[in-house]
Amino acid sequence: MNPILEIKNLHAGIGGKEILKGLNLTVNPGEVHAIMGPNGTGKSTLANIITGREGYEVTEGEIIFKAKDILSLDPEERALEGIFLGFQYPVEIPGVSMTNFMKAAIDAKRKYKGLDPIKPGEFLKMMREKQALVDIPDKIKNRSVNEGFSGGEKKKNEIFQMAMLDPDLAILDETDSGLDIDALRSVAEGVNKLRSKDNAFIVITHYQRLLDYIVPDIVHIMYDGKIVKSGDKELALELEEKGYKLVE
Amino acid sequence: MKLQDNIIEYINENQALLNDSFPDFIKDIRTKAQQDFIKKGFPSQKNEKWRRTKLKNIADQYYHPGINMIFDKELKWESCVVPEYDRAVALVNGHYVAEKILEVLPNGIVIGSLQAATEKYPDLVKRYFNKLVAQQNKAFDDLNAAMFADGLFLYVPKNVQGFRLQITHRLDAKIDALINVRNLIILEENAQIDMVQCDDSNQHRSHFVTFNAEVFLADKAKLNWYKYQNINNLSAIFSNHYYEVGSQANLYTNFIELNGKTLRNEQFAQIIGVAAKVDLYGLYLADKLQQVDNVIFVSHDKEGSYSNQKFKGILDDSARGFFNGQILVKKDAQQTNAFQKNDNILLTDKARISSQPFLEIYADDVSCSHGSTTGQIDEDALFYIRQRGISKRDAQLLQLYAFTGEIIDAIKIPELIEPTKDLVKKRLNGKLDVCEDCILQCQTRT
Ligand SMILES: Nc1ncnc2c1ncn2[C@@H]1O[C@H](COP(=O)(O)OP(=O)(O)OP(=O)(O)O)[C@@H](O)[C@H]1O
Ligand SMILES: [Mg+2]
Repeated sequence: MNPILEIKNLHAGIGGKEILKGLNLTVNPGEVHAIMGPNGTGKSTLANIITGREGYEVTEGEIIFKAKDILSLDPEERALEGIFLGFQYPVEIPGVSMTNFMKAAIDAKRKYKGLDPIKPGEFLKMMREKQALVDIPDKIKNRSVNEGFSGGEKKKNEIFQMAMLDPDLAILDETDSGLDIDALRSVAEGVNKLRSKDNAFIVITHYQRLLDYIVPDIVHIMYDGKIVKSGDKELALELEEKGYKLVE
Repeated sequence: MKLQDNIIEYINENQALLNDSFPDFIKDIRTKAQQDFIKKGFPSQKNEKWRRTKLKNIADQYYHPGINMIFDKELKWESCVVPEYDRAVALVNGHYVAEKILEVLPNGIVIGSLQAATEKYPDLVKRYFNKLVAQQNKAFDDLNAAMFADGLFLYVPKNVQGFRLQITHRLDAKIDALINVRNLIILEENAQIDMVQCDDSNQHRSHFVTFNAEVFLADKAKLNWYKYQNINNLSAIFSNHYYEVGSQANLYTNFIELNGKTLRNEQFAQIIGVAAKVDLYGLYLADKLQQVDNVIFVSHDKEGSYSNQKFKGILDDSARGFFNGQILVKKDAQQTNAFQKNDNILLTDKARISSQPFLEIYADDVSCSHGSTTGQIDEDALFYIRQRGISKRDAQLLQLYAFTGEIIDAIKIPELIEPTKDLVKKRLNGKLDVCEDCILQCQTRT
């Protein structure tokens, strides 16, 4: 079995400052990985680099996704290949309705696979189904992307989009931050329903609590641009108890 | 100043041709304008309102000054059937072209050629003609008055409502030409009309056009004026619009400036009554070396009126834009609400916008605001959209198109919304053909 994602000795930074300092990570189909680590250690940077955000320099190492080196691909190509990022800070896009945005995304994906644009009826049905999955209000469909959404709604909206796009690898960057307990549960349920033997998740979080709902196969502790310790879900509990002196 | 010299020479040599087809009261205005133009010529680049506009590339070029004066009988208006409109008329190279040159409709509306109206209804025309222009006398007003041959005349009697007029303003000279168009629009008390105008060009020729319109809104009159400008990359239109707005009258304009070498729209609205409402919307999209200017002036003379200016622009390549918006609230204009907003996106670091908002307030009980923003495409949003699999180009288009939404959403004629969206999308996509059928979506062209 080939891994979905394989990162080898990744060194990367921004503006001449090295942030990732030799990071290794292998994610296999069907797995859920959790990444924990102190503020500013490079978790979001890692997510950005996997998804191809411009402005970073990769100085060493490789990122293999589904047996392909993706470092030279544009963000949209990586997305179309099946990588999804749930943003730590979802962006507001005034004037672009959720419906139009999702329609454009679904059609881009279909085009990539050589399919015609989705039929309006089919699209609406799909929207309804996925909305129910994460329990977001119907009214957001007509609103501009993330505009005026509450913090929790924004995070749920990321999961909704993930459900719509059905990626092979989803990276969820602090999707649990700012969620109340019910929202947390419904986000986790959404993720659990989407888990399958073919896809994989990387869940970035500061709180062990989320991992009670989304049970990870492997927990990594990231520190100063590297993964310094990996273990099973007990590692998260241990970290909660001892703090980062566990790895210092 | 090649063009200026050519025009002066033409004026001096063609007095009879220029002046004889008009009654004396027009002739007087015209000969004075001719003298003034000879004296003053084109505006100087030192003039604050013209400093940002590249006039040189027009002034140094040759445009035949006389095409305008010769009515080419072959210029037939391609009749255009649009079910939602009550009348379709055309202005071709500055001449009114329709089945009848001047007609009175059963509801009393008079519509036709301004030149014909000066002969048939001299008293009516005399009461209004040049009244607003004379008060302001902006750049190119002299040239327009000195040289125009014709234009639209429209008179809407008291209480006549619901008339929708389609105007195709076409540049169609077979040589590079100067065209001057003069229009007079009069709405009596409680009259209401919609006008949808397309400025388009048929020939791949340079046209330099001055388009002047004087518009009178009596008390409670309502005018909605939509304009779509899509002319070839060689041509320029300088349009000066003057509005006199009476008590409880409503003036609404929405100008979509899509393409042209230089498009300049000046709008001067003087609210002389109380409790009037003026909404001026504009969207300008320019690229290559194009120039788009909007110069707006709203004057509140009396109390209790509302005005709103909202202009948005996207400039690509080395395009230049100029927005100059002024609100004047006179001493007696208490309880005025006046707003102004200009937002721009620059897509390259060579594109330029000069945005100049002005407020001048002499009354104390008023609510006014103005603002101007200039930005680039939002990089965070761009990445967010691309991360969902949407190409960079489409992600940009999505954002640019969203930016235009505020102006398009302000359109009040439902049948215009989809075609406008379509035009704007095509323009943003670089796929708008200047020979595209205009917004009016003719079903037949014969
Ligand atoms: N655009 C940037 N320019 C300069 N430095 C940056 C930039 N983006 C991130 N950094 C720096 O890189 C380091 C890692 O940031 P990153 O956002 O990846 O941390 P994180 O682990 O996600 O932290 P948190 O838990 O607070 O979300 C930080 O020191 C941050 O200040
Ligand atoms: Mg982060």
